[in-house]
Amino acid sequence: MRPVSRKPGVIVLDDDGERAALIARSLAGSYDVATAGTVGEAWQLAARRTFSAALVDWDLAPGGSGIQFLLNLAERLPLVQGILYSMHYGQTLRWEAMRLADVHVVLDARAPRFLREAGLVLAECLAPAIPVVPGQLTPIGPAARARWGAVSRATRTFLEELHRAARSRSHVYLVGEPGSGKRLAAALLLEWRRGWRRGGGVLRRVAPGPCEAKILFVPPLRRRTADLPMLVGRHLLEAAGRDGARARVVSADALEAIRQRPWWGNVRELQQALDRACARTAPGSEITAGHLLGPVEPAPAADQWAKLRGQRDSLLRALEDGGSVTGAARLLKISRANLQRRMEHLGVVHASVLPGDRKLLAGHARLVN
Amino acid sequence: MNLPALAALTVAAGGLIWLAFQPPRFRFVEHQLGVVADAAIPLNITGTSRDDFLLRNQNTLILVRLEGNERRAVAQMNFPRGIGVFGALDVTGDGRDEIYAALRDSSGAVAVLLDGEGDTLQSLGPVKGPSWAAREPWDGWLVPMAGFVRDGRQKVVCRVLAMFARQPRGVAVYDLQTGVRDWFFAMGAWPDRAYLVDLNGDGERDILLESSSPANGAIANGTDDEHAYALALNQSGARLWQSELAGKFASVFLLPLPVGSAPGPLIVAATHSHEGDPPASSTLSLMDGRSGRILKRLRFARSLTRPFYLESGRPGFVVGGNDSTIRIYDLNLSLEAQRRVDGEVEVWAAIDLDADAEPEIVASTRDAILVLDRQLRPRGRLSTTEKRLDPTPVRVARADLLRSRLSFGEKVAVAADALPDYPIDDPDKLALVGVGAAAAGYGIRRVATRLPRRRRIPAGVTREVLTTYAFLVHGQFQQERPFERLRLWVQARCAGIDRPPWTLQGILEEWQGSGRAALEAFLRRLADAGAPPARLGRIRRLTHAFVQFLEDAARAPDHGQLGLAERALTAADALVLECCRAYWEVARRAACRADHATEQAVRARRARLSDLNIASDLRVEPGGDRLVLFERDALVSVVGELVDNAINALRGRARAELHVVVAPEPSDSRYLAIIVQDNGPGVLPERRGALFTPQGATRPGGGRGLHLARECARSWLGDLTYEPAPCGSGSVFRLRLKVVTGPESAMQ
Repeated sequence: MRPVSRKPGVIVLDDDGERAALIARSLAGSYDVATAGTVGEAWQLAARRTFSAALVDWDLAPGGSGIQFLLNLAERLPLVQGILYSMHYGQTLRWEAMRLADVHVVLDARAPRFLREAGLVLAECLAPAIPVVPGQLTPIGPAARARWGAVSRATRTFLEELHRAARSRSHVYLVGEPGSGKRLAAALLLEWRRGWRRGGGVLRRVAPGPCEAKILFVPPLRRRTADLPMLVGRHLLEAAGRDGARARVVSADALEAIRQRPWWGNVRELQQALDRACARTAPGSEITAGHLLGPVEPAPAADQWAKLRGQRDSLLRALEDGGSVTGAARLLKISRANLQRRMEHLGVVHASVLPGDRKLLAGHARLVN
Repeated sequence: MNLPALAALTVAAGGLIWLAFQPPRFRFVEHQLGVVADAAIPLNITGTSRDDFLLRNQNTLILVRLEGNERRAVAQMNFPRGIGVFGALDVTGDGRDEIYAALRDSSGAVAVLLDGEGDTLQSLGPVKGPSWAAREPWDGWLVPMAGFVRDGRQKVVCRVLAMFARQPRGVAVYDLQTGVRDWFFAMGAWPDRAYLVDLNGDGERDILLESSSPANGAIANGTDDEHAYALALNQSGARLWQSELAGKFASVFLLPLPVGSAPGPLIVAATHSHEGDPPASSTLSLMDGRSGRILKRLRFARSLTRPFYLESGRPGFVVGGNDSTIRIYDLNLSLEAQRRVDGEVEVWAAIDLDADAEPEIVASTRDAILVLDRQLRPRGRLSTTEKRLDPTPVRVARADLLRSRLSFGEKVAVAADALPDYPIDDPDKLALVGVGAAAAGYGIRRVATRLPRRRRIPAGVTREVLTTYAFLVHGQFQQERPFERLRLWVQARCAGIDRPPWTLQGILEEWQGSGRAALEAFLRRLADAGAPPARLGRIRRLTHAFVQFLEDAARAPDHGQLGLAERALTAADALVLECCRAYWEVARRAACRADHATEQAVRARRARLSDLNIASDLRVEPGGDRLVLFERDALVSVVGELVDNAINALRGRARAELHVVVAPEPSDSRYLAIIVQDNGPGVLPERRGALFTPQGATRPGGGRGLHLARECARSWLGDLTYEPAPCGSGSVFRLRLKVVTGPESAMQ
C-alpha cells in the first residue's frame, strides 16, 4: 500500500518525458509529484490520488492541448490550481488560456529559469496556512494592489494589464465570475485614465491591427489563493472600523477551510461569510473553521457551465472582431440591447462606459496606511 | 429638334470635349493605419513595389505594409530605450532600405542598423562627449546619413550631433562589418544631410554636406555654428572645399544636379534664414561642385525651402518659400514659372505620379497638401484638418528612389502627420507629442495596377521546405534533440540541480550526429525555393556560433559551463527563429483564403446537389476568413473530394442535407477547420480504421480519394479526420488547416 504523503500533490502532464522527469526532480523536495505523458494517464492518476496543483504543457502530442485538459480540470476539480507552460509562450497563448480555462498563470518553458519559476508559483499557490492577524498586515505597495490583496501572480498580472489598458483608447471589457471584482476594476480603470489624462498623458490605440476591443479576465478567487490572507485581513479591519471594535483574528484552520472552498461567489461571498463569522464571535476574538457557514453560492451545473462558456466565448470573439458592442451585435445579428443583456448575464462588463464608483475606491488609503 | 435643345446639346458636347482634354486631377484617398504613432515614414524594405511604412511609437518601431486597402504589421522592433531619431536608407546598396534608430544612454549615443525583419545588422558607437552642465549626461546623437563602398567594404556616413555640449559634432564614417569608426571630421556647424556625389571627377563619390547654424558657440575645423556652410569631403575625410552661405539661425539646402544635366558638377543651394536675428535675406545660388565657388546668386526677402530637381523637358528645379510662392527655375537660375498659394509653402517632392513622363510637384501649406503639374497648375488639393505653424510635413513614398521602382503605377503613398481627434492646446506640443499618423494615397485614374509578378515556385518544393522545417524546428533529429536537451540542461542547472541527466559533450555529439545533417537538408531546400542568400548566411553564422559556444562550454570547468551554455542556447533560439522566418518566407507564397476555396468547391457542385435534391449550405463563421497554408487549387480539390463523397453517400436519400462550415478551431487559434457534414448512412465502425488507407474505399469502385486528401492535408501541416455525426446517422469530415500567422507564431 502506498504510504500517505503529507506533501501537497502535484501532477505534471507533459508528452516530453525528459522534461516531465526533470520538473518532477526539481519539485520532489517539497511536493509529492506524479508525471503523466497523456491526458488519459493524467485522469487515471487524478482518480487514484489527490492533487493540489497541475503543471501542464500546452502542446500535447498527438493533437492534444493542455488548455483542453485544464478546462476539464476546472470543471471537475475546481480547487486544483492549474498552471500552464509552453515552449511557445506569448500573449496570444496567455489570452487563450484565460479565455478558455481560467488559467491565469502561464509560464515560458523556453526561459532558462523556467524550473525555478515553476517552483515559486507552486510555493505561492500551496503555501501552508497561518493565522491571519489583521493588525500585523504588511502594506503591499500601491493602493490598487493593496485593495486587491495582490500577492498572487494572477492578480498582479491582471492589474498590470488593467493599468496598460487604462493608457490605451480601446474599449475595455472585463470578464469574470460574479463577485470577482469587475466593477471595482472598472472604477480603477476610470480612475487611472483620469489621472493619466490629468498628467498630460495621451491615450493610445492598441497597436497594430483593426481590433480596438481589449478584453481582460478578472481572476476568480480560487485562482488567487495567495491573496486570501490579505483580503480576509483587510475585510476584518474594515468591519472592525465600521463597528468601532477590535479586529478579529482568523485561525490557521479557518484560513485553510477558506482556501479549500471554490468560492463561486468570489470576494463578495467571502465578505458575507466573514461578516457572518464576525456576528458569531466577540470583537478581538479568534474566528475558527467552525464559525464559517457553508458555501452560499452553488456551483454551476456542468451543462449550464459548458453552455455559458461557449456563449461567452462566441460573444468575446464577436466583441474582438466587431471592436465595440454595436459592431459585435451586428456580427452576431442580434439587437444591441439584447447583446448587452447577454453580456450582463455572461459576466462581461464594458468598463469604459461604467460610471466611476468612487465609493469602491474609498478604502484604498485606509488599508495601505 | 428645336433651337434651345440643339444649343443645350452643343454646350454639353463642347463641355465633354473640353473635359476630355483636361489633365487628370488627383484624388486623395486616406488610409487610416489604425496605429497611433508619433512619426511615420515610407520606406522600401522588400526591394519590390510594395509600400511599407515605418511607424514609431515611443520605443517601438512598427513596420506596416499597405496592400490595397489592407494594412498589416509585418515587424515590430522594441528598443530598451526611447528612440531619438529613426529612419531608413539603403546603406548596403542592395536596393532595399535598412532601418536605423539612434539611441542614447549613460554609455553615450549609438546608432542601430536593422534589416527589414528587425534583425540588427550592426550597432555603431557609442559616441560620448563632455556634459554641458553638472550632473547632466552628454546630449548628443549619432545618426546614419548615407552608405558607400570603399575598398570592397561597406561604409556608413553618420553625423555626430552634440547639442549644448558642442562637441563632438561633425561627420564620422563607420565600417558596417566591424562597427569600428574609420574617421571623424569635427565641425562647429550642425551637419544636416549628406549627398554622395563625384565632385572632383576622380571616379570616387565624395561627401557633400549641408549644415545649419544653431549658434551655441561651437567652433571646430574652421567652421562655427554662427554660420551655415556647404562642405565637401572626400572618402578619406579630407576637406575638398567649404563655402559659407548664410549667417546664424540659418539652414542650407543643397541640390547636386545630376551628371549630364549641366556642364561639370553643379550644385544649387537655397538658404532658409527667416528666423535670423536680425532676419537676413535668403539666397539661391548656383555653385561649382569642383571648387565650391558661387557662379550666380539671387537674393530674396523671405526664406526658401529645399529645392527639387525636375527631370523632364527642360531641366530645372522647383523651390518653395515663405513668401507664399512656388517657383520653377532653369539651370541658369532664370525664372520659368511661379505661382502664389495661400501661406508659406514647402515643396516635398517632384515625382511622376501618373506615369506620363512629366513630374508632379507635391507641396504643402499650413492647411493643405497640394499637387501641381510642371507648369504649376493645381491638380489636387487635400485640406488638412488642423492649422499648423509650419507647412504640413509630407513624406512621399519612393521619392528618393529610382524611377524604375516607381513603375508600379497605382499607388504613390503620402504620409502626413495628422492629429485626428486629440485636442492639444499648445501648438508647440503638437510637434513634440505627435500622437497621430495617417497615410494618404493618391488614386490615379488613368494607370492600371501593374504589380510585378512573384516568381512562382512549384508546390512540391514548398512542401519539401515545410516538411524539413517541421522536422527541424520541432527538434526531432531522429530521436536526438540537442537544442531541447541543452535547454533542459541549462534549466536544471539554474534550478540548482547539480547533475542533469545529460552532459554537454553528449549534447554536442547529438548535434554532430543528425542535427547538422537535418539543418543542411533544410538549407538546401530553402536555396531551391529561392530563399534570400542573406537569410541562409545568417543561419550559417548562427549555427557556427551555437557550435562554438557549445564546444567551449563542454571544455570549460564545471563552474564556467552555465554561462557558456546559456549563450549557446541563445544562439540556438536565434537559429531556430531564423529557420522559422526562412520557412515563413517560402510558405506564405502558398497561402490562400479557406472560405474562398471552399465556396469555389461547393459552387462547382451546386448543379449536382440541386439535381439530387440535396439541401446544402455553406457557413463561414467569424474568423473563418483567414489565410491558411495551402495551395488554393489543392484545397479546392480536397474540399471537392469531401463534398463528392457526401453527395455519393446522400444519393437517393429523402431529406438529404449537406452542411459545410468554415470556422476557427475553438481550442486552438493556430488552426482553421472546414467541416463537411452530411446525414447519410455514415461509415461502419469496423471500416473507420481503414478509411484513410489506400484500400479504404467504402463503396464499390471507390478510389483512394480520402487517402490522398489526408496526405495532401498533412503535407501542408494540417490534417483530415472523420467522426460520426453527433446525432442520428451521418458523417463529419474535419479538415484542419494551419492559419497563416506571423513568423514568430509560425514557430508553433
